[in-house]
Amino acid sequence: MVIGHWSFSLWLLSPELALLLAGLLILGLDAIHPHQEKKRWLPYVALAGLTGSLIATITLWGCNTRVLSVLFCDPFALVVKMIALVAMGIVVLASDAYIRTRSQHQDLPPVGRTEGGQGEFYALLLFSALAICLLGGATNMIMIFLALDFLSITSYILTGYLRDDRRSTEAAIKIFLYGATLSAMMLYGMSWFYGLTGSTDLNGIAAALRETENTMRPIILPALIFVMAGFAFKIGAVPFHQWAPDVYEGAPTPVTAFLSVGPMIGGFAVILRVLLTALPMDLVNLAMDWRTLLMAIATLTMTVGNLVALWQQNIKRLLAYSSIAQAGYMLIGVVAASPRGVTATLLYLIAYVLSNLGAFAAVIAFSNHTGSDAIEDYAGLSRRAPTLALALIICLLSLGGIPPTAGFIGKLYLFSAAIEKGLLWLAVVGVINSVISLAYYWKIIRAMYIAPPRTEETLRTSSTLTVALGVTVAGVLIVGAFPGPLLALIQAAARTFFG
Amino acid sequence: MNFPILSATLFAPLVGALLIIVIPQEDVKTIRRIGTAFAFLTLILTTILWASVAQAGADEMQYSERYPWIPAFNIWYSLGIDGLSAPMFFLTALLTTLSLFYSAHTIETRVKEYYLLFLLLETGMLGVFLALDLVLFYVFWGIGLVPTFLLIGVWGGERREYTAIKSFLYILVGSVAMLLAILGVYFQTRTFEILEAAVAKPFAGNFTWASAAFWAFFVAFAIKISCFPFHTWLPDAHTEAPTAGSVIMAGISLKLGAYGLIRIALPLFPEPFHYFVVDVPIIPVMAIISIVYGALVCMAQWDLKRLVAYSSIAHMGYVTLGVCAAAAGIKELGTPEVLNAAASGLNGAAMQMFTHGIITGGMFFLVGIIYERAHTRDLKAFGGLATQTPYYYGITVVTGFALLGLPGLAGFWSEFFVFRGTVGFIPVAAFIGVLGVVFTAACVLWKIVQHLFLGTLDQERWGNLPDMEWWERVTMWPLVLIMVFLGFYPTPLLDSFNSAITALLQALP
Amino acid sequence: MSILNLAWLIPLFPFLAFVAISVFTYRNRALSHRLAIGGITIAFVLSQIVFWAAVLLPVGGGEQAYESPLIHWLSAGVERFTLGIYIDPATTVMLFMVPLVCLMIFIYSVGYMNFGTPEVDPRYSRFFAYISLFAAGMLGMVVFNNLLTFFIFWEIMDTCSYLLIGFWYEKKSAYQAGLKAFLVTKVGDLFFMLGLLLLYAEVGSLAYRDIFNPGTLEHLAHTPFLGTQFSMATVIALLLFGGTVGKSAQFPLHVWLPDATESPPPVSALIQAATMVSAGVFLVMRVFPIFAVAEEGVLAIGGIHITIVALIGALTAILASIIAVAQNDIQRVLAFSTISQLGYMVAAMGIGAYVASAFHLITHAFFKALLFLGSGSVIYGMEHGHRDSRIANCELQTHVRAHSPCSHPEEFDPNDMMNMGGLAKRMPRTFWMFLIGGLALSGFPLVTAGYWSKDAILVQAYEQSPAIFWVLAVAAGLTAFYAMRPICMTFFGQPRSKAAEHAPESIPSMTVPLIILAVFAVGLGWAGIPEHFPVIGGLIPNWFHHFVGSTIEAGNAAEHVAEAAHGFVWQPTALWVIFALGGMALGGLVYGWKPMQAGEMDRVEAAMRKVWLGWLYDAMRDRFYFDEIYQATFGRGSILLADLFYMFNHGVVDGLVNLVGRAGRGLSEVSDVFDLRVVDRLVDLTGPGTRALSDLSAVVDLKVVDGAVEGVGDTTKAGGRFIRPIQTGGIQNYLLLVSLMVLALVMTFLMMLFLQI
Repeated sequence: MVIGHWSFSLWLLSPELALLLAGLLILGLDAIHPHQEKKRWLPYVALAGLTGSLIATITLWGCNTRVLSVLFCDPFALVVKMIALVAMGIVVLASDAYIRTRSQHQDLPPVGRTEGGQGEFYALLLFSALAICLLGGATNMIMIFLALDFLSITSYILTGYLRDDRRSTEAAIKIFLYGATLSAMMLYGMSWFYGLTGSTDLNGIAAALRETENTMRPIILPALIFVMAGFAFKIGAVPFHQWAPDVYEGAPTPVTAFLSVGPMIGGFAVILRVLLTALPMDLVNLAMDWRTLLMAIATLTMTVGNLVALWQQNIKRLLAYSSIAQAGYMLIGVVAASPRGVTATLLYLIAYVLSNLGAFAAVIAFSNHTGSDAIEDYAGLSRRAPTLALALIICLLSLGGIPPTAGFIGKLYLFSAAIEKGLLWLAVVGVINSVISLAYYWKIIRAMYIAPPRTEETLRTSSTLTVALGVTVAGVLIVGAFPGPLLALIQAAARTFFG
Repeated sequence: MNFPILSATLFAPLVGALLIIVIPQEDVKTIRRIGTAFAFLTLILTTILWASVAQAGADEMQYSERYPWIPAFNIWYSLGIDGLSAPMFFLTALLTTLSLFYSAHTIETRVKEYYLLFLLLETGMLGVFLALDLVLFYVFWGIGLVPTFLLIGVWGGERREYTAIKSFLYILVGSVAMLLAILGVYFQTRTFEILEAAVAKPFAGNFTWASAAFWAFFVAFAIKISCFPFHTWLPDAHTEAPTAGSVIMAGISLKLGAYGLIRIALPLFPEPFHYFVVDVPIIPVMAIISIVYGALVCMAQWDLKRLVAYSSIAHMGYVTLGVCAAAAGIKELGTPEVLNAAASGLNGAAMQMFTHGIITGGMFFLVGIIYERAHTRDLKAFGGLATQTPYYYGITVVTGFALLGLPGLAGFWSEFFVFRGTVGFIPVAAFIGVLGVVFTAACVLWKIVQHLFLGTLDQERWGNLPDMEWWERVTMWPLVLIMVFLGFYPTPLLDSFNSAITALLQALP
Repeated sequence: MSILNLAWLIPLFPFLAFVAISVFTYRNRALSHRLAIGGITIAFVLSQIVFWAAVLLPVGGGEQAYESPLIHWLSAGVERFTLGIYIDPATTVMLFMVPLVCLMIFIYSVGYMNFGTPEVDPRYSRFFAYISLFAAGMLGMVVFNNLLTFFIFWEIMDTCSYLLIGFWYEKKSAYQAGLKAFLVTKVGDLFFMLGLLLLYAEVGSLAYRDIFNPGTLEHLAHTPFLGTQFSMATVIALLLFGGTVGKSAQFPLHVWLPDATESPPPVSALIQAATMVSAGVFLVMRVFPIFAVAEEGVLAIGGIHITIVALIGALTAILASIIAVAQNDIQRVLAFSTISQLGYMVAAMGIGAYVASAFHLITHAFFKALLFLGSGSVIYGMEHGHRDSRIANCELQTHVRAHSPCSHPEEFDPNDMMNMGGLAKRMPRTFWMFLIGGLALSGFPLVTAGYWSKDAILVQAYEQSPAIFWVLAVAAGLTAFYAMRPICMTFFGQPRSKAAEHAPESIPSMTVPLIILAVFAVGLGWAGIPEHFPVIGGLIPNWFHHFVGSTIEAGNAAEHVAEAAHGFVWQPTALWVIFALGGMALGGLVYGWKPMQAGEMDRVEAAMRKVWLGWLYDAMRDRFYFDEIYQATFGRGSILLADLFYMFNHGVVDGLVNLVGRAGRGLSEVSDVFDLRVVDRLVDLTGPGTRALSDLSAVVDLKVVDGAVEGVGDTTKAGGRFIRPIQTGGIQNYLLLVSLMVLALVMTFLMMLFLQI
C-alpha cells in the first residue's frame, strides 16, 4: 500500500503509539490494582501491546516515506521494529516467572524484593521497545539522541529494578554514569556535525559534505568519533564495553536478557542509518575513514570479547563477553557497507537475538530454580532437565555458528560480505574467533552433558519460560533451515540505503 | 518430479531420532528397538539405491534433487548419488546399523541420548556423501561434528574430556578454513554447485589464490583423514571413544575427508593439486610419511586400541597417495595409459575408503569385544587366547590379515591399485610406500595376533574368559563376509567406483 | 568348450573344503579330514584329466597355450582386466605333480596327527582346514591366466605357511618361526609386487598372453627404466626374482626355511616339496621370457643380472649343503638340502637351462616329499617309543606336547639323530623308502630320478659356464655326503636312546604314501632321458624335454634357452657322478662303517676340531650366524625406529598441537587480567584527572535527580551507599577511561589522517 499523504502521518506512527498506550495502560492498571498476587495478567497486557504494535508494523510494510520530518517509515525501520518487538515479546515471556517470584514472595529477604514493581517493569519494557522503534526510523541527529537517551534511561531503571539488591543497584549506577558520559560525548559530537554542516538531518549532512568533502575531513572525523563512541557504548563494542560484564552480572537476569538485545538492536539500527545515510559510500574518503575505524573496532571487539570469555566462570559474565564478541561479528557487515553487508548484519542480528534470548531464557529458568549462575552448577543438567539442556545447547551452537542453526547462516553471510569486499583478513579473524568462541560454549555443554550431576533433583520450567524457549529454539532452527523468506524481507530493508 | 528417494533415505535416521525424543528415558528397550530399526531401514534403502545406481549407470548423478534453498545467495538443496558416493552411502548405513545393534547390548548409561546422537550423526554423514552444493556439504559436515565429540565426551574413556575438546576444535579449525574457501569459490564462479564449479575452475587465472583456496580445502580434508602432520587428534579420539564411536569415526568420519579430496579438491583445483604433487611434491611426501611413519608408530603401541588407531593413519596415507597419483597424471588424461593409471590411483583410494571402513570398523568391534571381557587393552597382559576363545581368534585373525592387506581379502585391492597408479608417476613414492606393508604386517602379526593369542594361556587370569556372544558374532559376520567376498571378487565395488571416477577424470581437462 | 576348462574347478574343491571345515565341521574330526581328502582327491582327478588332455592335444607355449573363456574381473579407467585359466606345458607338469604329492601328504597326515587315538591333536580339524587352503593356494597359483592371481595365491600360501609353521603355537620357537617365515618371505614379496606393478604400469595388463607377445617383450627390452641404462625388462625381472629369493629361500633370504621345520613334518613336506618353495622357481619358469629378453635387452648389464640369478643359485646350493653337514636335527638336514636343491634349479634358470630346471623341480618335489614324510615317520616312531619308554611324569601331557619337547627339565628331542640309530630293524618299510629318497637326493646314477634331472642341469652348466658347473658339482658331492649321514645315523648301528629301542613301525596310512612317492622318485626320471645317452638313450623318448621345452620354443624367447646337448658329452656327467659317488662312499665310510655310539661326538666335528677347524664347524652348525645378524640389525632396528618415531610423535608433533591450545588459554588469561587490572591501574596513576571529572559527575547527579521521575530517586542514595565500599572509585576510573579512550582514538585517527594526506 502506498501512503504518501501527510494526513496519514499519525497512522504511520501506529506501532509506536500502540506501545505507548499499552505502557500507560499497564501503569494505570498497576496503580489502581493493589494486590500483587492478582496481577498475573499484566505480562499478557504487555504482550498484547507488543502484538498490536507488531501487527501495525506489518500492515505498514511497503511504505517508504518521511514522518514528521525526523522519522522515516521505510523497510529498514520496519524490519528493525519487527525485530525489536519480537525480542521484547520474548523478554516479557522470559521475565514473567522471575518477576512474579520476586514481587509475590513477601517472605523473601529484602534482597530482591520490590514493592508493586510488576507493572512498572513491563511498562518500562514497552517504553524501551518504543525507544528502539523510534531509533529504527530516526533520520535526525536530535531525534536519534533523544531516542537513545530514552532507551538508556529505561535501561538504567530496569537495571536497578531490584532496589534492595546491592548488586542490582550498583549495576544501575555503573551503567547510568557510564552511559551518561558517553551520551554527553555523543551529543558533543553531534553539535560538531551541526556546526559543520548546518544541519541535523542525516541527508542534509550528507548533502553538505558532498559539496566540501576534503576540506571538512579533518574536523568531521573527531566529530564522528565522538558520535561513534556513543553508539559503540550501546552495542558494547571494545573499548566501550567494560560496563557490560559488571552490569550483566548485577542486573536481574531478565533485564540482562533485555540489555543483551535491546541496545544492540537500537545501536546497530542507528549505526547503519547514520553511517550509510550521513556518510554514504560516494563520499569516498570519509567512508573509507569510518570503515577503517570500524574495522579496528570490530577486530578488537571480537578478539577481546572471545578471549576474555574463555576465562569466565559465571554464565552471565560469560554471555556478556560473548555478546561483546557477537557485536564484533556484526560490525563486519557494517564495515562491508554493501547491500550484502547490511543484509548480513540484520540477519545476524536476528540470529543473535533469538539465540541469546534463548540462552538467557534457559539461564533464567535455571537460576529461578537454583538461584545460581555459576557454570559448574550446570553440571549434569542434561539429566536434571533434558529439554532445557537441549534448548541451551542449540542456542549456544547457534551463537558459535555451527550448522544447521541461524547463527551459521548469519556468519556465512557476514564472512561472504567481507570476502566480497576483499576483506579476507577480516573474515579470517572472524572464523578464528568463532573457533575460540566454541571453546567456551563447549565449557557449558561439557558441564551440562559430560560432568556428573551434583544433585539428581529435576528442574521444572514455568510455562511462560517454556514458551519463550520454544519460540527461540524454533526460531533458531527454522531460520537456520529455511532462511529464504526472512532473507527476502531483510534484503528489502538493506536496499533502503542503496538506491 | 518423482519420489525424492535420496531425501527420504537421508532423513530416515533423523525421523528415528525425533521419535526417540518423545519416548520416555526409562523405556530403554523401545529406544534401542526404534534406533536399530531406523538404522536398518536406512541400510535397506541405501542398499537398494546402490544396486539401482550401479544398474542405471554409475558414471553420472542419479536421483538428483535440486530445490532452491537460499535463492538470495544461489544456494541450492541439491543432492545426487553416483558410483563414487553410493558405496560409501551404503557403508555408512551398514556400520551405523551394526554399531547400534552392538551397542544395544553394551551401552547401559544414558541410552536415549546415545541413540539420539548416533542417528543425528548418521544423517550428517549420509548428507556429506549426497550433497552436491558446497554449502550443503559444509552444513552436513558440521552437523556430524558435535554428536561425534559428545559421544566421546560422554561415553568415552578416562581422558575423554581432553580428547573431545581437542579433536573438536582441531577439526573445527580445518572446517572454518574450508568455509572461507567455499565462499572464495563462490565469488569466483558465482555458484556453490560442486559440478558447475568444477567446470568453471575457480581462480583458474590466479595461481596464488587458487593454491590458497586449494590448501584451505586440503587442510580441512587432511585434518579429517588425519594425514601427517595433522594426525595427532586421531589416536586420542579413536582410543577414548566408545567402541561404536570408534567404529563410526574410523569407518566413516575419516572417509568424509577422503571423499572431499576426490569430489571437491581434485576437480576444483587440478592446477594447484598437480603443482603440489609434481613440481613441489609436498603432498606425496605427507602421504608417504603417513604410511611408513604411521605403520612404525603403530608397531610401538602396547594398547590394542591405540594400535588400531595408528594403523588408520597409515591406511589413510594410501588414500592420499592414490589421489596424488591421479593429480600427477591430470595433465595428459587424453592418453588412455595415463587415464588408466590415474583412474587406478583414485580407484585404489576409493577402495581404501570402503575396505578400510569395513576392516578397521571390524577391528574396533573386536577390540571392544575383548575389552568388555578383560577390562584391559594392554597387549602384554594377554597370550594363548587362541585356545581359550577359538571363535574370537578365528574372526580376529581374518580381520587382522585383511588389515595388513593380504591378497584374497578386501584390504589388498586398495594398496594394489594405489601403488599401480603411483608407480607410473611417482615411482619413488611407490618404492618407499610398500615398506609400510611390511611394517603393518609385522605390527599385526607380532603385536596383535602373537601377543593376544599365541603362547601359553595364563590360566588363573583368563581361565574363564568367555568366547564371542551371539550378538557379537552377528555384528562381525557381515563384515568378515564382505572382506572375503571383495577379496576374491571386488568387481561390483570396483566397477561402481571406476565408472564414476573415470567420468570424473574425463570431465577434468 | 574344451575339457581343459575343468582347470577352473581344480583349486575350487580344496578351497571349499577349507571353508566347510573352518566354518561348519570343525567339531567333527572324521568329517573334517574326509572333506579335506575328498577335496584334494577331486582336484587330483580333475588335474589328471587336464594333464592328459593337455599332453594329447598337445598344448604349447605362447600362442599354442590354451586360454579359457574370460570373465570380467577388474577395471581401471577404460582398461578391463579379465580372469581366465591358462594351460601350457609348464602349468601341465605342475598340475601333474602338485595334487598327487598333496594327496599323499593329506593321507599321511591322518595317521601322523594320531586320528582315532586318544592323543589326537586337539586342533586336528584346523590342521586339515589349513593344508586344504594351502593346496588350494598352490593350485590356484598354477591354473590362472595372469600374474596378479599368481601373486594373490602366492601370498595366500605365505599365510598358510605362517599358520602351519606356528601350528603348535604354545611353543615360542614355533610361533616365532611362523612369524619369521611370513615376514622374510614378505620382504621378497615386496620386490615381486613392485615388479608386478612396474609390469602392469608398463604393459597395461598382467595376462601371460599379453606379456609374452613378442611386441611387448621387445618394448620392455628397449624402454630404459627411469632414464637409467637398465632396461625395463631387466628391472622387472630382477624385482620378480626378488620374490623367488624370498619364496624359494635363496641366499640371503634363506633363513626362514630351516625354522619352518618347527611345523608338523607333513607340513614341512608340503612347504618344502610340493607347494611353497617350488612356487618360487615356478615363478621364474612362468615369466622366463622376460628374463630372456632382459638378458638381451641390454647386453652389458643384462648379462650381469642373468648371472646374478645363476650366482645366487649356485651360492645358495653350496652354502646350504655345507651347513647341512653340521646339522643333527634330521628335519633340518633335509631343510638345508631343500635349500641347496632349490639353488640348483635357480642356477639352472640362471644359465637358461629352462627345461632341466623344471625337470629337477618335479623330481625333487617327489623325493623330497618322500624324505620328509620318511623322517616324519621316524620322528613319529621315536615319539611313541619315547612315550612307551619314559617314566610317568609326561603321561598327562597332551599330544601337542608329545610332538614338541616336554617342558620339564630332562627334555627329549625326537628329531635329534644323536638319539636314533638301529631303526632299520624296528621300522623296515620306513627305512627302505627313506633310503630310496636319500639315493635320489644324492643322485645315484641311472636308477633314480634325481640323477637324471641333476644330470640335465650339470651338463648344460658345463656348456654355459664352467664356474657354475664346478660349484654345483662340489655341492653334489656334499649333498651325497650329507644324504648318507642321516641314513646311517638313523637306521644303522645300535639304538642310542630308550626311545629308539621302543620305536614302532608307523601305521599303513603313513607308510603307503611313502611307497607311492618312492615309485615316482625312481620312475619319473625315465620321462627325461636324453636321446643321445649311451645304451638306454632313446629307448624312451625324452618326452619331458620336448613337451616342456615347447613352452619356450613357441615363445620368441626360444633362442635364449640353452639347448640340450646335441650328441652326448661324457665329461660333465662323469665328473659330477664321481663327486656324487665319492660323497656317498665317504658318508657311508664315516657313518656307516662303524656306526656311532651313544654320546659320541659327531665324526666330522671331531675331525675338524682335530685340525683346529672347530670354529668353522660351530659357524656351520649355527648357519653362519645369519639369523643372529638379521635379528640384530633389521629386527631390533625396526622396533627401535618404531619407538623412536612414537616418541617424536608424542613429544613433538602432538606437543605442538597442545602448545597452540595452551597459548590460546594463556592469551585469554592475559587479556582477562589486562581487561580487569592493568586498565584500572593505568587509570589510578592518572589520579589527578579524576578531579577534573568531578564537575561532570555533578552534572550527572542533576540529570539523575531530574530523570528519576518514575521514583528511582532513592536509587542514588541506595547506590551511593555502595559505591565507595564496592567500587573503590571504579566508576570514576571507568569514566576517565572512557574519555581517555575517545581522546586516544581521536589522536590516532588524526595521525592516521595526516599520514594519508
